[in-house]
Amino acid sequence: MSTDVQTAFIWFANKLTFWIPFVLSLSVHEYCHAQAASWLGDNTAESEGRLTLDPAAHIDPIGTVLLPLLGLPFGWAKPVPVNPANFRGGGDGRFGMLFTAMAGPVSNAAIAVVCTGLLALTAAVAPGQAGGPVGSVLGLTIALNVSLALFNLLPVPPLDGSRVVEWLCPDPLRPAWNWLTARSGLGIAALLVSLMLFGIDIGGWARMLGDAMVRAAMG
Amino acid sequence: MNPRVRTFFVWLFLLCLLALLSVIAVMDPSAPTRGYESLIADVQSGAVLEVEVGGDDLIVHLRDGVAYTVSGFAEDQGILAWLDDSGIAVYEDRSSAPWLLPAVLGLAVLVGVVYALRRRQQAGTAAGKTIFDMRRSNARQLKPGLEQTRFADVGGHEEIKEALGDVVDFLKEPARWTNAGVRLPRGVLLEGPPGGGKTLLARAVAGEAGAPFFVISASEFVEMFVGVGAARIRDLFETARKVSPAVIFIDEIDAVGRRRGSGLGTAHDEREQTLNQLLVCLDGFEPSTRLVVIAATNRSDVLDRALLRPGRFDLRLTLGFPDVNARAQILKIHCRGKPLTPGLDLRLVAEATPGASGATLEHLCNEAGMRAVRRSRKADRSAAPAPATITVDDFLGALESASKIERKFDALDALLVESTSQFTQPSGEVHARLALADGSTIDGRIVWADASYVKIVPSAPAGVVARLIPKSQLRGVEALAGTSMADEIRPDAWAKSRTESA
Repeated sequence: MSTDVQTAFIWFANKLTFWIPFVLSLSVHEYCHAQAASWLGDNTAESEGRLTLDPAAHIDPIGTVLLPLLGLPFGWAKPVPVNPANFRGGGDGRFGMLFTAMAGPVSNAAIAVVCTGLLALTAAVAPGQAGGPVGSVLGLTIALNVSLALFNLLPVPPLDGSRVVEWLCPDPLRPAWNWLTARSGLGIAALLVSLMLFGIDIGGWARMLGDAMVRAAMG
Repeated sequence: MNPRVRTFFVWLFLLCLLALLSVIAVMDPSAPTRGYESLIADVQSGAVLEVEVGGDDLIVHLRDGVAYTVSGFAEDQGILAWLDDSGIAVYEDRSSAPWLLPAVLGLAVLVGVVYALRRRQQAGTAAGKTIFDMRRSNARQLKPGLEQTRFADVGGHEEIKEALGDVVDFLKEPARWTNAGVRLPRGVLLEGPPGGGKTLLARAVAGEAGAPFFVISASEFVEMFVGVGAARIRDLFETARKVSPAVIFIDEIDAVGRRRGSGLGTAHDEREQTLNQLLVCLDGFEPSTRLVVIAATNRSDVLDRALLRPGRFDLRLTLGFPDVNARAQILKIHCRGKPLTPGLDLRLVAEATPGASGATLEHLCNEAGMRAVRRSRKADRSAAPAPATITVDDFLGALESASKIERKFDALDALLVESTSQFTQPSGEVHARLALADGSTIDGRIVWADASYVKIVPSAPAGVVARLIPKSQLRGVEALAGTSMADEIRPDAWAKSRTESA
């Protein structure tokens, strides 16, 4: 094997070691949305085949495959459709939307916690592995899921965190909020630009938190 | 493959691949990115020679010549102090990583992608739906367990319930039937007059079978464009097959099932194509597929013969008007939870409503209830409001208004209306015996008749003041006295009549 091919292969392996946990985490995230909606009585997601952990159901060709493999620290899966009109118990379905939306980030946080536990276990049982492949995959998964949870909690319309605002939004401000929600691309672009301008690095915070968890696990 | 099993294998495959690749990634001689934990482990084991700070990254050089990158320490100055404490040399890289260009490029790509997505979305939603969405059937799917209707909620129709019970059993336990080499009907055609309970029975089948239930009205298949209806039928059967055992209910099937070749020119191409597709789909499913199509119509006379041949809709069930016993049952079902006066005999109401369909009886019960509530509301308001109870009079009053004959006609009765254009006031007293479609007879004094109804005051039982009989339910009129007027109250010409005048 020539060095170039070897290097390319290893480069690709590196991409995939990031991409596989990424896709699996997104699948869990979207599945949890669908499951939460299903618990509340809305089976829109289920009827579109989204109540599954199968990544194939959730992959978005651009957001899940192209951008992450190009190396951008950014990506998304197909959003799970939810129809609040189907929720049991009446009301305007705002709380149901909140519950459904929170299921995603909470699932990512849960994955991060579970992986921290696994890393601690690995460090205790086989200290050599903690610095090797197993540790590196677990560390990556922790960082990834912490950043997924944090990023999705941002209160900007297409993201899950926007449901918190929607839940709390007083009625007079509702038209403005709906205007913003209808232009979700605008919201996310404004968010990214302002994050850049103010030097706020969500990814950095996520990494810090993730690293803190890793250090806690490693003792 | 079972979706769950498939999901499991996809995960297993990806995790195995991940395990393999992670080993390869760590073997990388050219120092790829590694996690934080490697650095900690290596520092603890004393393998680290020195650490280089480059932009946001730490480049870790090990004593054995291997180097790797740990990314994203920038905000965490604590790690540098910790490395210092551990006695590791830390130095600044001269060439800081150029971060601005990639960031701007990345942002440009992102904005471009988001913009493109929005364009695509708008194009899709501008007309509400894209043209390809038309090809999907808009059948509503009821989840198993959601449908609460049971056979017990259907009054009368005992033989029909039994026949449909076989179908339900076939959906639940096909082995019992297939072991005996029996093929159960794929299609059930419910025919009968409007309001006879066709839809209710179909819902009861869904409720009893506990299977997914697809509801669609046949007119929803037909669209302006030729081929759309056929595509929707295919889509419906495709969807149902995926979740079988399932029940498909096609309401008002005469909208697409009309005899072919009856239209002028080519105007009926779309309908015929839709029908052809329906015929093929009914034939098409494999014997093992547990799919039952229930269709309802009140125009079975115009249906295409190919639709009715055995093997398609080979179970044809006719829902007639309920007889006295069935009517009493239906009334009982609809009066569940309604406050009837103690001792009220619903059979009396049943006897007074020949020719009423299930829907009429349901309306009657509701109307009677409304009258009772209205009465209790109008009653003395100062006293504690008495709970409404439904009396026989409420039912009889409801019956009159349900027969589209208002109370004012009763008043007109007394005025001896002379106009014969709307209804006939017999010029003398007519005592007659009416023979009804359900086989019973009524003796009594005929008060008046109009184009559709005969009003008779029966001689027995004594409690009933007057009854309205639809002429379509009359099978014979036998005048007992006042003979000259009996002809005026002949049943409608189209009714199967054998009118006798004595």
